[in-house]
Amino acid sequence: MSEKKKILIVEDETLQANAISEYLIGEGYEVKVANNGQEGLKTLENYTPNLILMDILMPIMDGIATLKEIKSDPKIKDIPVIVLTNLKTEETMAEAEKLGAAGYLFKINFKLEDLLKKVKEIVGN
Amino acid sequence: MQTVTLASSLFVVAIAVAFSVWNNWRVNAHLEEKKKEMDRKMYELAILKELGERVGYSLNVQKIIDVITGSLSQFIEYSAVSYMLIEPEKVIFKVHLEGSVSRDFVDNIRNRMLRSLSALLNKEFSKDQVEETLSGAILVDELESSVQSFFNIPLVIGNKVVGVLTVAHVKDGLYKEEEMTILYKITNQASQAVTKLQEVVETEQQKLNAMVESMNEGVVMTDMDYRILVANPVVRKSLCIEEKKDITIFDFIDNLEGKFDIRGKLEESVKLDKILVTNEVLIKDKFFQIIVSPVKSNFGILSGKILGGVVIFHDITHEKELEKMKEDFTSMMVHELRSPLDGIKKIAELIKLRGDKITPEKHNEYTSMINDASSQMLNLVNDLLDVAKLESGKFQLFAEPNNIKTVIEERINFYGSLAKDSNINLEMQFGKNLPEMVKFDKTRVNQIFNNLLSNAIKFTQESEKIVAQAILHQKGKDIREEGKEAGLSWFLEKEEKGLANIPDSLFIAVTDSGIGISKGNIPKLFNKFKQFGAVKDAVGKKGTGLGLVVSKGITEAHGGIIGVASEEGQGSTFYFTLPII
Repeated sequence: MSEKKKILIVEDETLQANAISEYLIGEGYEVKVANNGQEGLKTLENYTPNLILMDILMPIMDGIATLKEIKSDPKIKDIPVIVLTNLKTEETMAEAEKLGAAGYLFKINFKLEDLLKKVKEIVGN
Repeated sequence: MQTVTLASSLFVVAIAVAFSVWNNWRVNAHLEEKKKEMDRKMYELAILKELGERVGYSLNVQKIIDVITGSLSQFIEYSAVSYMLIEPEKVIFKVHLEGSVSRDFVDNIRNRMLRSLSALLNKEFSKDQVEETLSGAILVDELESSVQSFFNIPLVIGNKVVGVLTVAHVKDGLYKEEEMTILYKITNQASQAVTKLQEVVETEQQKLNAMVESMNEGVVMTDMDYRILVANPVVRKSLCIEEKKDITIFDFIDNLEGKFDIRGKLEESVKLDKILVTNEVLIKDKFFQIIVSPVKSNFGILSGKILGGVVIFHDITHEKELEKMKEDFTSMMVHELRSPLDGIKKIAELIKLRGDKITPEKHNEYTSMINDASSQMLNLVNDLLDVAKLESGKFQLFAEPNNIKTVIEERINFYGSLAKDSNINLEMQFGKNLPEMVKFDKTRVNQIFNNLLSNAIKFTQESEKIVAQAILHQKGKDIREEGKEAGLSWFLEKEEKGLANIPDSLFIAVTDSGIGISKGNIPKLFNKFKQFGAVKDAVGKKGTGLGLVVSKGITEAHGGIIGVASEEGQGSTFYFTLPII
């Protein structure tokens, strides 16, 4: 039996985090949720997911700062990160790309199915 | 004998004739004298009148002296009339020739004048400094002319010697007292008039300076050559230009750091005779609105002439900050509404995708999530609406006689179960003499309690307590004393501003033993724009962040005041008053 692929969701909006996590669990993934960047990094200390879904706009530590941290830590920098955001600003997108995000999704118009497609692309089933 | 008599009578006749002739001559001379005097007086008056007009719009000393010398020939015979005026770098020497003379003649005059200037000012002047202008008859070098008569008058303005005025002639024996008196008189009058005018100008200048110094706006004024005429303290401070005597346009150009082309704008404004406004220029982390305008004279013959330009720096940093806060507020509110909506959408998607694979538990869970999200949004929309009404003055109260005790009891009951979940005790404390019925809007006062109680619960730890308190406050009495009398324990011990002059009111408080609020954060609490992070409560429900803003609005609509006293780490007492009408 193949091991479940692990996904870490870093998102401060509990409702959305819950909805996405529910969905992905239903599709056969193991999902953990962190409420902000700082919590996310803490979780990553003893949990190595196959994929990280990260929100940009979060209190305490935002998505870009967290992404930077992740990419500068040799233990976790190779974990692909998909950025979820409502901000369409080019600077943020450019920065995320420069830091090595594996992809991004706009919260406003993404369907759960699209998310699934992208997740499958990166980590498989 | 006859010859002697004839001789003597001839002699007598001769003497008589001589006498009458002499007398006649004397009378004529007298008349002549009188006529001359009158002419002189007329000349004086004419000159003084013209001087008056000239000095009125031009303090150009040279022009004034030109007026004087212009018509001297009517009264004084001269080969040459000339003047010298001292300028910072040179000596102006103007000569007007009535008749041709030689170069030597002019040089002679020049040297004599320089000598007298040196004597007057105790300073050496050399020929090289002299800038000469000749007018009238031409120089003819062959002429044998030398200075035979010469008269010199110093020109004094404001007690300072500014030059000399000279008449010279090839004939000698001229320039006696009477002619010289008139010259003295005229130059004296002119001197005085100019001095007086200079004083007036200086006083007006001082008044202008005083006005400009005290303006809140930064003001710079330049003449047509971009020389700085006025630069008030505000503009020096705003642009960090140090205190020094001679500020130039370059000081401004440097300190503007290329953010504003002051010279270019001045030029444009003057050329087009238009007022130019540049909005929002960022200079050294302050925002300015900069207005450039030509400065025109509307006085006398110079009316309409452009004298220079003025630049006004209007500091709008504060307004920009306010604008930014509003933008931030709007973005935040949009975000706060969009998030739960997004969540609801995703849950709906989830349900659709799962279809009949949803268990009853999951079903409950999902519907709870939708419910919570909807409530969150609804609360925010309601608060936003209330805030909008308060701001536009359309907020209406429906005040009726109500019993505050009953209201508090109801609220405590309502929040009882929520508090129990977090293991917090809710209590009530009432003062004696609490009036039974007081007019207030029950729904709105409930709203205040909902806000204060839910906040208190949010920030208080387990097994602590929250107390709702109400006492009667009587005008003139000390709140803290009244609290003590009623046996209340709260954080209102220290001097609280604004508690001094409250009329007879219901004084209501909610005291918790939570984390407290730092002094720095207290002003931000009741401010719509400054939220220091909306915080989730124990069950993960977020407040709208606007609760206190609305509570403040409701309280003030009743004519009361709202505030908080807090000890960091120990707890807070939020209080508000409802005046007894």
